[in-house]
Amino acid sequence: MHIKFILKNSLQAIKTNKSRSALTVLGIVIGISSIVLIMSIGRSAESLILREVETLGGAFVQINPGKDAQGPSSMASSLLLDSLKERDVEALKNKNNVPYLKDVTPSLMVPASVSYGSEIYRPTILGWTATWLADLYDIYPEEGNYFTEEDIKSLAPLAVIGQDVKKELFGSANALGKKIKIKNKYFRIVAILPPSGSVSSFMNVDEFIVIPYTVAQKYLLGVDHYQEIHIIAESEELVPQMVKDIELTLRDLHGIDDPKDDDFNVTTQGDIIDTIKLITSVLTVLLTSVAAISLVVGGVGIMNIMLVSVTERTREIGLRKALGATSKNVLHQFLIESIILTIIGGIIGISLGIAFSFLSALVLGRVVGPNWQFVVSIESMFLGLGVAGSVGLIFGYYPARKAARLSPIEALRHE
Amino acid sequence: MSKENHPLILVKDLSKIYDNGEVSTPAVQGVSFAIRKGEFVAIIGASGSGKSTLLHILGFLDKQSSGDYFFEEKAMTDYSEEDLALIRNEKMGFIFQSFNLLKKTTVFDNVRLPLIYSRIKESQWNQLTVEAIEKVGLAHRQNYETAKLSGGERQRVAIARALINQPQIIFADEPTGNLDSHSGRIIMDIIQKLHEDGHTVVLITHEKYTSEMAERIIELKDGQIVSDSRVSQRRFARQGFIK
Repeated sequence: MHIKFILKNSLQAIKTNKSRSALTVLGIVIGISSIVLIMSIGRSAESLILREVETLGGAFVQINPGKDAQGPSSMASSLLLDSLKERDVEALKNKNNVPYLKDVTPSLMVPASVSYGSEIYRPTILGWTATWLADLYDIYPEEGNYFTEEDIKSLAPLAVIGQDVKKELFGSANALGKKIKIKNKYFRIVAILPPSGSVSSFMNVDEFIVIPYTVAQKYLLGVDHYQEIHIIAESEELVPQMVKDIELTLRDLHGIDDPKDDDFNVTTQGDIIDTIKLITSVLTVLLTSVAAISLVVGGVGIMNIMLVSVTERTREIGLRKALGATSKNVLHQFLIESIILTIIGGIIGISLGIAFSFLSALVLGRVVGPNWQFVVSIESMFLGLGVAGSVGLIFGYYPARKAARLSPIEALRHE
Repeated sequence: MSKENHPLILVKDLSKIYDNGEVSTPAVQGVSFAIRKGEFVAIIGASGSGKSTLLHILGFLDKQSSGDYFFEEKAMTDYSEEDLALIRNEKMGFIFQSFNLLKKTTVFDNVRLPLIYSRIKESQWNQLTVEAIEKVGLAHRQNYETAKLSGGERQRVAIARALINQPQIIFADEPTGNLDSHSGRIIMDIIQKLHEDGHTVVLITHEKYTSEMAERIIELKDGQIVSDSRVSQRRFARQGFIK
């Protein structure tokens, strides 16, 4: 039997029961549009996070205490580990140990508020070296100067503040040289940063207060270790070699022979990107699987309606067989009918999914920020169509086989 | 024996028993007969006499419980399901009491239906369909949906559909059963003409008048043949005979 006539028959059967076909297809439409929407949001989230991570530059490397962080809890507990200390930074600075290191800073984050007179503000307080902002983000003070290596060594209570901090505490008044209070300790403002905005989702420079890391350690946190060590390599290409040098240097210093016993871990941009990709793809797969459940429900709907259709058209099946249709002809006709139904559902679902993705990008763009972009993955469209067709094939097979197996005379006698 | 003398249909001790697990009902019991090519045979009997069951077996729509059925000298049991479908398509034409047309489908598409399962080239389909529709006098209704036609016209569509593959044999199961006498006469006239054109016709009817339009009458009672005789005074529909 010619495929043209099978298609024509199937379309006619669908057209004959327009509202029933539309309702049947609804389940598939919901399933496919959910898949497209979820995959699109997943892609947008991934590209947003990756772009922000990439602003740090490929030459950025971070050392954390403890073994490889395996999850949020181990990340949190790593803050309490004290394996990274001053001697480590000194050893890393030695060109004989790590020749490709361009710059390094210990890093500590102080969870505290800042006040000036009656004004209180909760900024991001970071203990860094003086020039880290200049080296990593190319940001230089708008007023005043960064504190110096001398200031760090002498534990000078000095602070560099961002625009929001200035605005919240001083309004339009002059801030340079004023003393602000963090944890009952006074800090003199030596520099004010230009309006810089977010350098990533996690880092808004305008909310920064940067103080000498030694001061953060001794006066604010009361520790003698670092939470993290941040490093910039001479170039991105030299990062793998530099990581090896860092690991050898720290192992030697910490008396570690077996890499399994490492009490530190080195993370490159590549590692971070891989981890983010893994997390977003796992999340996307998870959510897509949830959406796929609705497709199964839709498929059962298709099967149900095709069974009704077979019962209703039993006489027609008998007639076709009497006129020479083989069981295979009948099987193909009903299979193609259910596949057409699901493909129509798939096409509508993909279109709706793209529309919803676009709307969600508009909304999320307002919530998350302009960096959120509308991304539609081509794979999701092919996946959607493929899945829709397969659902039609799988769930349409049983009714189609039932139709094909009807004996011509029993079918003709059917009332 | 020359090929011409071989019967088209040969039935030997054929029985059909319906068995639903609890009760077994014999519908046809040990019938034997032969139908030659070009014959016009009426099978007559009261309701429940087994005539429709017999026709369904002859038309490969059902299978016998026992006995032999040879079509063109080959036993039905020797044909595969696909062969049976092909023979139904190429060598048999069916006319049913209830027309069995596709709803919401035009006269043209209904008549063409057997062709889409046939081996005939698609380029010939339109011409064959138009010819078959003309033969039953419905050229002016070609693009009508069948639901808009009268009963008599619908049966003519069914006849055109039965003719389209130029079948060797036409099985007509109570073709006038759902029609008024005028329409019935037109239908019987067409069937008689088909016979004159050389088609073998097997007609099922419960009406004596209609059966006498055939050349031969096989009478069934309780699934058995009670008489098998030639019609001495044939009636012709064009002479306005029907009740």
